[in-house]
This record gives sequence, C-alpha cells and structure tokens, in this order.
Amino acid sequence: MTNTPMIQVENVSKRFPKTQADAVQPTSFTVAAGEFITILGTSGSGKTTLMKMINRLYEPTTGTIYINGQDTRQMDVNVLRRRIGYVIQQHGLFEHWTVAQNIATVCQILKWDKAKIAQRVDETLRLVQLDPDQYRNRHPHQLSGGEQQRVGIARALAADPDILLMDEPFGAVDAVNRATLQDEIQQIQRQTHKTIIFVTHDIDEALKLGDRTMLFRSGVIQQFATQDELFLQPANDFVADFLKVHDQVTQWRYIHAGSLVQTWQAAAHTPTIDPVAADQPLAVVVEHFLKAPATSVTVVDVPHQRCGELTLADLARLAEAPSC
Amino acid sequence: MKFLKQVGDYIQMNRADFDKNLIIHLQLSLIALVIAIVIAVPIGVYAAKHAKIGGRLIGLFNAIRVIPSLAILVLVLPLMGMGFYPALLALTILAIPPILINTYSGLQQINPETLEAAAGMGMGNAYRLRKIELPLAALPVIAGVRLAAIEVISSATLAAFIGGGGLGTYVMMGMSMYDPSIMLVGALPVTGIALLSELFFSVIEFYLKKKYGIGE
Repeated sequence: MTNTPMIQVENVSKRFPKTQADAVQPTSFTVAAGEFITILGTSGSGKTTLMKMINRLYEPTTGTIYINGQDTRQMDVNVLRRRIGYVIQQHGLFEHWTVAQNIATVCQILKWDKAKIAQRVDETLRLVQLDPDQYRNRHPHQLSGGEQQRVGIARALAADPDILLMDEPFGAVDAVNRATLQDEIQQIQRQTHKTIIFVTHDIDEALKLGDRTMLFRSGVIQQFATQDELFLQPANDFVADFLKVHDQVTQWRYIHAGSLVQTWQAAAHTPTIDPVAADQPLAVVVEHFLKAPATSVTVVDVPHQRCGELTLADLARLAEAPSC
Repeated sequence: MKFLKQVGDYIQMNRADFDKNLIIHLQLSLIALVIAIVIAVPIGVYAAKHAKIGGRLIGLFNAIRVIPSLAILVLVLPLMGMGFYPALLALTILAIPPILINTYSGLQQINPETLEAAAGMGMGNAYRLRKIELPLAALPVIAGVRLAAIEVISSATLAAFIGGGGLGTYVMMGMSMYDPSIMLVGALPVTGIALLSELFFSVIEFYLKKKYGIGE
C-alpha cells in the first residue's frame, strides 16, 4: 500500500463548455498518503478547478484520477465524496442547522448511530479547539468567521476521510485568526495524518503549510516542489518572479538553514554553542551573525542526527545567484 | 353596539344556516390552500432548478397575480358553471402565484456555495433538496402561504357571487336587503378567520426562526 500514492492525477484536463481554452491543461502529479500539499496561484489560474476534479465536483475533460489506486470515475460520485473531506471559504455551513448537526452531516448520510455521532461531534470539536459544551448547539451565524471555519474543518473530518480538500478555507478570516488557524490545521494534520490538498492565493500560507507547494498558472503546473527547491531551483522566470526568489529578504525568510549546508557530519560531533535548527529560516542564521560575529554558524538537523556549518560566504552566494 | 347585537341575534336565529356557510367558507379556503401548496411548491422547485424555463414560468404566474380575484371567479363561470367546485378552482388559481413565486425566490436566494458544499460532501440531489434547500427556503415559502391564505380567505367571500356559498352569502344578502347588520354577519367572521390565519402563520414563523436560531 505504501507504494500506491494516495492521489494520482494522470493527464487530467478541464475545458468548460463554450470556452476556447482549457481551464486546466493536461496535468499529472501524485500525492503521497499523509502529505500536505498546497496549490498556489492567482484567481483564474485554474487551481480550484484542478482541486474540484478530485472530488468530481467538476468532471475531467480528459485523463484519470486515482485515489488509493482506484479510478474515481468508476466509483459512485456520492460515495467518493463522502470519503473526501471538503472545506470551502465561506457560506459552507448550513445555516438552519446547529454546529453539531453541521458536523454530523456525512455521519448522518452514512446513517451512523446516534451515540457514535454525538461522540464524534465532540471529538472533532475538541480537535479544532472548540469546547463542545459551549458550541455544540449554536447556529453558524452566532459564530465568528474563525469559529465558522473551525466548524467547517470539524465537519470535514467527522467521517474520518483519508483526504481533505480545502478551497481557500481561511480566505475570509482576519490575519491574526488566520495565523492561528494555520497552526491548528498543521497540528491536526500531524495528529491525524490526513492527506491534505489546500488551495490558496496567499504565498505565505502556501509555503508555511505545504510539505510541497504547487505553483499553478493558466492551467499549467509551473513547479511542484518543496519550499527550498522552489527558492533554490525555480523552474522558470514565472516561479522566480512570483515568489521573488532573488530578493534577499525573501530568501532569508523562506529558505531553510539546512538546505544551504553543503557537508553534513554525524551529530556526535555537534558543537554545543548555540546552533540553529535545520528547519529554521536563514533569517535566524543571519541574526546569529549579527548578534555575535563569527566565521560560521552551526546548523543541526535533529531528525537526521547530523550537523553542518554555514558561513557568510554561503549567504553571499545566494545573493550572487544569476537573476535568470 | 346596536349592530353587534343584531348580528348576534341573527346568528342565533339562523344557527344551522350560519354554521353551514361558515364551514363551507373554511372548507373552500383550506382545500384551495392545500391544493395550491401541492401544486405550487413542486413547480417552484422545478422553476428554481431550470433557470431558462423557470424565468418564463415565474413571469407567467406574476401575470396571473395581476388578475383581480373577482375576475378569476367570474372567468371560471363559463367553464364550470356555478357552485362549490368552480369557486374552489378559482380560489386555488388565486393561491398558487404567491406560494410558487416565494418558493422559487426562496430557493434562488440560497448561496450557491452552500449548495456546492452539500454536493461536495456527497449529498444526492433528492437528499439535498429535502435536508438543505427546502428547509433553507422554508421561511419565504411560509410567507407565501401566509399571503395566499389571506387572499383565499377574503376572496372566498366573493365565491357567493358564483354560487359557491360561504360567508359571502350574508354580504350579498345584506346588500340586496340594505341591511348592514346582515352584511356584518358575513364580514365579521371573515375578518376573524383572516386574523386567526395571520396569527397561526406568525406562530409557525416564530418557532421556525427559533429552531434556526434567527433573532433572539
């Protein structure tokens, strides 16, 4: 099973009736189980169309999508959708239902028994940091924007789907709450190991949340890679310009310290003086150089039990990179 | 006060006749309303689901709405003659447009994103209509039924003109006899029924709003 990707998209394209061009041009990619991927693009880029083909809200014009190796077109569309959590930006909650009823939507369709549903509602409410006793019987319009999105996520998780599709879920939430929600969805993903596809037009959000980010434009994948790969090896001018990969401050902010280390040593040799974690941004390394002038800063990669050194020259090399 | 006493006396003296007309009036109104709901709600749903034909349908029923109730009653005459059933038909025709139009607009008002969320979670069309769309459109639909009820209750008075009976019988009788107290024997109960119907629907609306958590 581990070899079968959770989602496999093969040559999938979409052309809407009465339009001249493909909204999504033939596209292929795979997503592994438990992966959190973000699709980044401007409005009209086709990113939402691409996502909606996964739960067949749009039927692909060409190509095939496999979920766990199964051709989605061979499955009953509603059975497929009940197995995929779906969260949208706003107005996704059913206004005439309470929070508990909303969360129980799919469980009700699947005819779970009452006690099990009630238990699951409370579980998912706690998962999204809402107190069940306080929120269970409220109506959507009695909630703040952030709370509504939390309930939306709880609802998507209720029937315990393997996959979560999220269409700009935090787009209508204010910046402070958005950051909290982003942390929470990350936390939830680590806890539940869902495969998440998250569509956004916010660069920060896409890079922060995605294990990999797909940059999408005019119906074509520009690049689908990790944050460090996007910045260190942008696939084309569009990627470079869109992410401003040659801007020094942007580089410091987004490139992880570990990705610049050229030679790693086993962690046994770790010098103890104030190291920087490999998954910290370069800005932290720069900060170290500013605070205490030194020839190098130590970077430790705890998960891989190794460490390495970064010098000012390593940082300078970034700035010299040819702006292609 | 003198009139009121006369009205009371008249009803006492013609108890059986009054009860018969009262019941006919209530039957006419209630049956017309029920038939209208059974016809108008499905057509409203259909119109809301089929944008092209739907728009035309709504235009047609808006036009029907303009025809005065007495005219509809009289128009039925050459088709069905006099009596209870022609009156029932006319009243049903009267009651359909407000219910149909409100069903249509109530469904149209639902945010498309809400519907997409429902579809995206794997609700079939019938399930979605029953659990999401109709409940979300319930308040406008009930407002339409409320409007239709008032229209039917008051127009049922005119049914007497085409031999349909009902409380309008006393209004006609009083007019021909120049006796306002007999007219009131018809008019006062009709007013009462209309008020009771308003009260009934406001109670329903109140509980529905409470259930949906609207307006504390």
